[in-house]
Amino acid sequence: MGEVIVFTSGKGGVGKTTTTANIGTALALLGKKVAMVDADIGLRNLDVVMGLENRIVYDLVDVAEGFCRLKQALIKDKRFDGLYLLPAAQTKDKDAISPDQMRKICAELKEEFDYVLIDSPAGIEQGFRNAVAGADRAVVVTTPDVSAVRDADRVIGLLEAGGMDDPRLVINRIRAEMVRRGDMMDIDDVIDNLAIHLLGVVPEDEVIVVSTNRGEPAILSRSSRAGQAFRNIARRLTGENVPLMHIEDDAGILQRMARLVGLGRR
Amino acid sequence: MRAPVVLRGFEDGIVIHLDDRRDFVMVEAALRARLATAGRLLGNVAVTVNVGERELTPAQLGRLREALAEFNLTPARVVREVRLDGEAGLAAKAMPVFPGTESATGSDGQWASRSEDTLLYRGTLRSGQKVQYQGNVVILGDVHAGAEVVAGGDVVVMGTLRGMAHAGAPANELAVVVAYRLLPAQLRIADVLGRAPDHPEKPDRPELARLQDRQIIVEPYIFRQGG
Repeated sequence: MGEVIVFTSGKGGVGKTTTTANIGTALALLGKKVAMVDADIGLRNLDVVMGLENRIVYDLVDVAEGFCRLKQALIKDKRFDGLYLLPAAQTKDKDAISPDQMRKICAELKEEFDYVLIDSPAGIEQGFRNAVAGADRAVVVTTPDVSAVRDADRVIGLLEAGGMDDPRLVINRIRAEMVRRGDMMDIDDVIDNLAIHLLGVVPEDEVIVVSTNRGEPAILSRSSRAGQAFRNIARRLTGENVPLMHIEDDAGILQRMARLVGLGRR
Repeated sequence: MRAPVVLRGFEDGIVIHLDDRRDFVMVEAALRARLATAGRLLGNVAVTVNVGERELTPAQLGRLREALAEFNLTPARVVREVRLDGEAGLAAKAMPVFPGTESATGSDGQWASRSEDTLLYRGTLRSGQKVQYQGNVVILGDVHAGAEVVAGGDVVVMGTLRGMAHAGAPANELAVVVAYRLLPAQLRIADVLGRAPDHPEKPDRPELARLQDRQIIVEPYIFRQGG
């Protein structure tokens, strides 16, 4: 029996889809059977990020309405055997499905897969309620911005009130240089504001832009630091104890040496 | 299953916990039985009654007072606990009104609240959540930015207050806001509004906000006996 994990944030554009795609791929790389569900009906993206857009025949709404079987709508990834995508419908909107239908689909997927990852839409309305309905655990994605953190707090409150205990936090797009200058919230500030357990920190990385546009998850790029962070998060989800990587390390080598000899800014 | 009635002694009085999952008549009988065995030892102490999450009717409150009066006890406070719930918590829940209790007697401190009717909330209030009550409100947790606490009496936060607190709503100018760390975006006392400076300093001690000359002032919280 697998586990259903929802990736949510409240605010849009913080990297829910990127996080879902990369962690899903990383879990598959670890040999797990993974289904990713795009719950963002009307604004689907996960298929594009995964480079699977041209294979869509049926979608989530078709399954909910009994128009096709779940197996028919699942798209097998082109790189990994154990990785599947259940795409969102693009021509419908959020109330095309109900929390009950979502619960049923999640229960069915759980039978078959080790991990079912749900990419939640932004917002706290029907789409959010659908996305969290069948989930066992939640991962809240935020960026180190005051507005994103505020929305994350709202979402955590809704998750807790809905009986979802202990949601985990991913801080995305952190920029070590800006944190060092005091221009960006650091990890401690974010955790201090949200008071939940940290699952991982992902540095800002240009590779993400390229990989998103190409439909190739960044974890497949060995040199990507964001990819490394996502691989670590996936291992933590499986219960492995992986220490946080040092976000400072992406500073230039000269600066790092300067710091070593006591010249650099700290 | 826990006991229907639990007495706990503190330095300055006792707290009587009444199980909220049992029938009120049964709890009332258990209270009499419990007080009968402890009655003589209680003497002249301040009594707080914690009724759990049960909503008492005015008649039940009267019977509670009668039972206590038989043992020469008068409740100084009746406290009710609440939990936020509702449909996935999507709607912040307005708290039901607690049947009125007598005003406190005796205390004449500078900022003593006029009412002992208190609502206890265990847990942290997150953005978008709101606790509203006609009496005092005590939060055993933090109040995050974007959350609101509105009280007819005092607001006490046993944690960090970053959201909005309104004490003495709508017109009690004696109400105060006390927090372990007072960092609100905005404070309201009665009908007076104060906002945080644009670059607030982080306090390192508990603080109290009160009204003085129709302005909200913040000072370190110092416990005053009887105050």
